[in-house]
Amino acid sequence: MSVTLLESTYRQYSQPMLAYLLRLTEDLDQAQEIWHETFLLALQQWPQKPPENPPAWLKITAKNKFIDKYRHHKMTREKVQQLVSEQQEATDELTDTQFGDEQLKLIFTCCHPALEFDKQVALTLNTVAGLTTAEVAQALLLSQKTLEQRLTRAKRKIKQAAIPFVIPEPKHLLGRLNAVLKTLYLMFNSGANQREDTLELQKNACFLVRRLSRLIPHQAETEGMLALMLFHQARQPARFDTSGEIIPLSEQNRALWHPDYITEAHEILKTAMQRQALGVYQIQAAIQGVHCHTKQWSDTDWAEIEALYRVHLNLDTSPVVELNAIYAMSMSRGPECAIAQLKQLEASAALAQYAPFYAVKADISLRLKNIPAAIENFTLAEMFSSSSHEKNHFARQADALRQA
Amino acid sequence: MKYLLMIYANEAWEQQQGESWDDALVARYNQVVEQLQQQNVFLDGKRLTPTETATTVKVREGQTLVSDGPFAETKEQLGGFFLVECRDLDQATEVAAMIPSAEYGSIEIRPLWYQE
Repeated sequence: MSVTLLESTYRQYSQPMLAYLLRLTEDLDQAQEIWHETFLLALQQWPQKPPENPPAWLKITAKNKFIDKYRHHKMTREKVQQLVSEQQEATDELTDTQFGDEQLKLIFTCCHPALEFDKQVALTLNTVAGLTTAEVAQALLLSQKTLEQRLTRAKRKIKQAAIPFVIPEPKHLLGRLNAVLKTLYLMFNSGANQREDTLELQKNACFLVRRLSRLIPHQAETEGMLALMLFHQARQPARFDTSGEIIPLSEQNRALWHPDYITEAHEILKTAMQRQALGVYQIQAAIQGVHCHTKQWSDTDWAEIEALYRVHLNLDTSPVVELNAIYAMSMSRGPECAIAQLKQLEASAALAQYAPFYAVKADISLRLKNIPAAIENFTLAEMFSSSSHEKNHFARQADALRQA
Repeated sequence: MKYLLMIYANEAWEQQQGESWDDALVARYNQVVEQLQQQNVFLDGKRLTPTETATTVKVREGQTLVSDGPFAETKEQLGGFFLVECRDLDQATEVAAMIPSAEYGSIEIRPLWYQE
């Protein structure tokens, strides 16, 4: 079994297995412990004797581990007996539909408003997205120790305050939706530039947004996010070259883009916009929609994109959105126009360690024929990027300029 | 699960509201308590006298120190509590939202340490 296959097996089953075990144990720590023991056993046994039905194997093994552990435990004895007598459950499979609700429960628990946002994000990435603590720490730019403490505190709160493992009642669903969307958005973006993670994480996040849109239908922002994710996924086949290096949007072979995803995203976004409840996810989807409907980079309607970013800034502003708006402006009205605003943004220092900030500066310097500044900024972008693919990309840009 | 719901509000503001406001508040509290008793959620609950009646006791190196107060510079003061039996935090949150003072003060929900 190769490392990649292992990782993908872990990711594929981690979330439904945790959801299943959480229902049994009602304790996230214990659920994770049993899941890890089960997976370890799979690592030892599967290479010699691969199971016919891997998900059923995982579920039965985990269930038996739970029964062994809690046979003598007073609180769960009743539940164990009930499980032992449920013969038919042994043949259950871990399918999407069966476990959809369990997964949503897991998300709603992780995104409970009684947990502060930082804890929600860390928990969701660790349990729902199935990232290891090291990966979550990297994605959130935290030390592993800090992250582990945060997770421990969050789990303790869930247990001690009895945060329930349920889909909220209908009257509370809408109020809980935003937090869930926000974390799913982060989950979608967290592995964004790591090839293997991207696909799994993005697929998973996209699947969950789809389930959410059915659970709480007719919500413009849920649909907006689904459209946004589909537009991104449509471009996936063109994002990496054969050696695994990132290909920027400007150089992608657009014939490789997935037309079905683009059509679906377009339809969903249209429906969302008709609801007259504009939000940032719809705007971001609309921006990606402009790119996805453009035949080649040089035809991009930057004035339209700039206008959409202005709307975004009116709804919700952040230094990152400002940076994107400035870049769109530099493309629609020329690099000179962008310099003053870029200086302003630089003075605020909010993006001082944000690689894309230097990438934009490098690009604008390059268009202004300021080669030394371009090299300097590509080097800074390389320094601050946390993804090896991205680092390589910026390093190659700087090298090419040095040699020219 | 047993939860202590601690009712915090700006005492000075409450005292400015007048007698009829206070009577109406008490009537609403009684209604809520009755409702919670019917749902078998309510275990106990009391209103406290204002913080000017408070006394603080500390024991340091065997010495008992008694002082007036606390008169800490906080915006809201503990004015009462509910002790409730709830299924989970979501139910406790719903109960907390029913407490009349939640509309101008805040309710802190704390699970009890020992749960049988």
